[in-house]
Amino acid sequence: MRQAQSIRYGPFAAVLALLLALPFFAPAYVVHVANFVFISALPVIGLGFLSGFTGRVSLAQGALFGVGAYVTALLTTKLGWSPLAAFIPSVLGSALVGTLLGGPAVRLIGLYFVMATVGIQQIVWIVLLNAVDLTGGPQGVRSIPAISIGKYVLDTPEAFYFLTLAMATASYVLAKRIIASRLGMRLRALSDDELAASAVAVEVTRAKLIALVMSSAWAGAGGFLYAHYVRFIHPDMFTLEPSILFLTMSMFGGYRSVEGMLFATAILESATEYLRPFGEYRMIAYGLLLLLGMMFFPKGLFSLLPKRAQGAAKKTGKGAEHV
Amino acid sequence: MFSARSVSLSFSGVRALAGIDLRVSEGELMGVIGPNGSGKSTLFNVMSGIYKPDSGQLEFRGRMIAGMRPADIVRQGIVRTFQNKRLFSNMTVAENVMVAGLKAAPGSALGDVFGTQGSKAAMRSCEQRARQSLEAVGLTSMLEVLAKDLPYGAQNRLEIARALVLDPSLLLLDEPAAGLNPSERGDVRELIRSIHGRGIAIVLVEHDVRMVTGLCPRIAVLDHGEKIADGPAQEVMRDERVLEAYFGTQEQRERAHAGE
Amino acid sequence: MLMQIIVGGIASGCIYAIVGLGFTLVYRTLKMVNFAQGHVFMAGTFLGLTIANKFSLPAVPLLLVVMVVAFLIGVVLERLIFRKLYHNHDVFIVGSIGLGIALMNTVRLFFPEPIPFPKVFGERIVKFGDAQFQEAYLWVIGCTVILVALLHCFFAYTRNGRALRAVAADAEIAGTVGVNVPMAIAQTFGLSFAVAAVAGVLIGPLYFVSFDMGDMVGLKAFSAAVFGGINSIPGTIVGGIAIGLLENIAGTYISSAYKDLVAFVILLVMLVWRPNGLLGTSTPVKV
Repeated sequence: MRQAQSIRYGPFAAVLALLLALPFFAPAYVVHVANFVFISALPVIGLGFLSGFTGRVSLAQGALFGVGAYVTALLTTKLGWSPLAAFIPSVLGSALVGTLLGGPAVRLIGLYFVMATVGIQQIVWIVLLNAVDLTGGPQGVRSIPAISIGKYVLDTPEAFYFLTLAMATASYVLAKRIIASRLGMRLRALSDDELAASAVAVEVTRAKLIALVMSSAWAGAGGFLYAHYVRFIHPDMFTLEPSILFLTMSMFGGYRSVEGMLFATAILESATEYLRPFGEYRMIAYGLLLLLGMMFFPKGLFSLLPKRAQGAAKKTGKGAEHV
Repeated sequence: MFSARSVSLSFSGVRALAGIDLRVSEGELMGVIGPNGSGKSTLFNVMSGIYKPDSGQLEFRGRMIAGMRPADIVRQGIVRTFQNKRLFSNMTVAENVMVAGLKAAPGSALGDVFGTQGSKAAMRSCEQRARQSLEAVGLTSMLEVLAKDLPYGAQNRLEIARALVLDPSLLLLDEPAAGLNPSERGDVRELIRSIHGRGIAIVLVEHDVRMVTGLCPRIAVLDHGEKIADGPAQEVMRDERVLEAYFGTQEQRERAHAGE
Repeated sequence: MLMQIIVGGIASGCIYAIVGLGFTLVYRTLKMVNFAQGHVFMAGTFLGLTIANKFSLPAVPLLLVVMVVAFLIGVVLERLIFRKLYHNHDVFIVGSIGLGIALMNTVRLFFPEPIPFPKVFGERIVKFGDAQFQEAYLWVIGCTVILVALLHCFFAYTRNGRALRAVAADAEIAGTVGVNVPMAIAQTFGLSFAVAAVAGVLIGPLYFVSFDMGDMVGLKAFSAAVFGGINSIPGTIVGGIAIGLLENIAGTYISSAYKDLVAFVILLVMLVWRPNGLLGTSTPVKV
């Protein structure tokens, strides 16, 4: 009887097999883009918990992504930590910043919460930019070491690919299981009708806080990967712009569908990378894409699928409209 | 079991409740009626913790509950349904009830995520209790249907099932028969009787006065935020003030009667 | 020195106030936040720049022309674009952000580098106490006062303005008493564009202008609106000037690096403490 948000193992295994094989037949550029897709998937999934399941849209994810990146960058370059050891502090760091700054705002209604996250985004970015002694200011942090696992040094896109794929896959599985769990049920209930949820004894504020912590932690994990992939970070990588990008990815796939988010991430991130050479035109296209997308597909790309496919997906909890 | 004393509440100068006194005994089935806007839903909102009264006291089984948060009041044992059916529209029938069932199965996600024995057992017992509740209202054939796809009568029953699984001692039913056809109303009437038969106290707010008089030995009547009558059903229905509230003064009634 | 800071602070505060008014007008009527507002401000600057360069208009006609053109563009865009975004807040936010990005980068195509704005307000230096500054500052403050006064008269004394106010208060009721609600909403957008564009022209002569100046100003104007009360016009003006002043003072006496932080810390604190702003009316905002 349980309506589990289950993973359909058949398609999952097929997709995973395909992805594992990717580096062996795809050109290097594709692998490079795929890395960015998997890295972005983490903050997007995290944001999905906050936005999709709790209805709190956040525009601070880019900044929290940056916190994760900076924590690991500073620990490894200034204190000589090994990258793997810096993973947990990265995640904890962004979770902490996100919760401290966003926690007090979590009881605000949707629109005001968005406003608060804008404030958070800007505050974090400005601090990153100006705390020159700590963060190196606009110069950023250079020569971030690559991650080494045992004797393997992950300093090529192909080598890094397996790490990012693993992290993205783990995130996917984790996210699905959380959604199917009791916490996930509470989050879905309160995003459907907050008043009714409190009338059935759901601790609404506590659930929102947990969603916030998870979202921030996931952003930090993504930032960790990012730092050790691009190996040079600076504050302008973590502005409102990536926040908007992450939000768009989590919205374009349809709010409650993890698969939808990943799909949207793949498309948008690839488009971002492939269109990079076109400079301003790329950005104009991007802006128009956002605008037109919201005008004509406010329910996310999922609404493009024929009704029956949507229905089947909904039955297994794969998709749903965004609120 | 429950008593409200001199409860008052105003919204921006408009008086919604004025000095309400109400008592409910253990296991009692009583009705609350009154014309539109008389404050029935507001009363429920205050009793269930959604609004805090401006003045007055609310006591339930010896505890003062005014100002408690809704989730805490539910834990005390007071459960309500909503007049405009606040279901979790994107969740299935089964899930709607299970969420409520989580009250008795607090627990972190961690166990669920890793599929521990304890969490599986908790979930299974949650499913079981949900199933029982849904059996009581007759919805076991629609477990996997999304709440928003349910026909109206089924939505009503789901709302009640969800309330039942919270193990209430005092159940506040807010217009459970609204919009139903006569046969469905009969079902709801039977349902209320069977719930009452389990020893649960019920306060029933309904527009259908006949249903209320047919079910409830005792009725309270609200009008413009005040309680204008409270007593055995037959007496209340003959009370002059009640008739006035619904049909106008004696004069107006006679004139209308003459004009027929 | 202090006078310098104060006047400078009031001037930038005026800009935040005016741009912030755009946010407030739209929010009051639709309960939505138009994130393209900052870029409209920037576009107004470049519109003014283009007109000033092509036609050598003096200050006042320039302002009027920009205002009218921006108003019309605002009305048209509401009809064509914004109307389709009213589904919910998030859609409106992301959509308006997209519009802003497209707008900014379109301007960037034509003006990739920061350039100076013609000195339409003259170049005299004014002395005030022991401070001296360009007369453009006085224009900014003066025009802000005039603009606010004009808006006040418009809303209080004209039928059209009262209609807009009615729609902002309760669109449904306004509709039943014969107000053309869609037109009123379009005009509200037009006004918000117009004020932002005017602010753009006012600030132009003071600095070099570039395509990315709308970002920060927009966000700070937004903070100003929230600070003063996003559904209160006087509140937004007070908020804007307050932030302009506080920013300048903090920037000089505490740290110039963290000057930008002031607006956003205020934003966050206000939302958590008093979401309706200093002068806002109370509507339920916390759950």
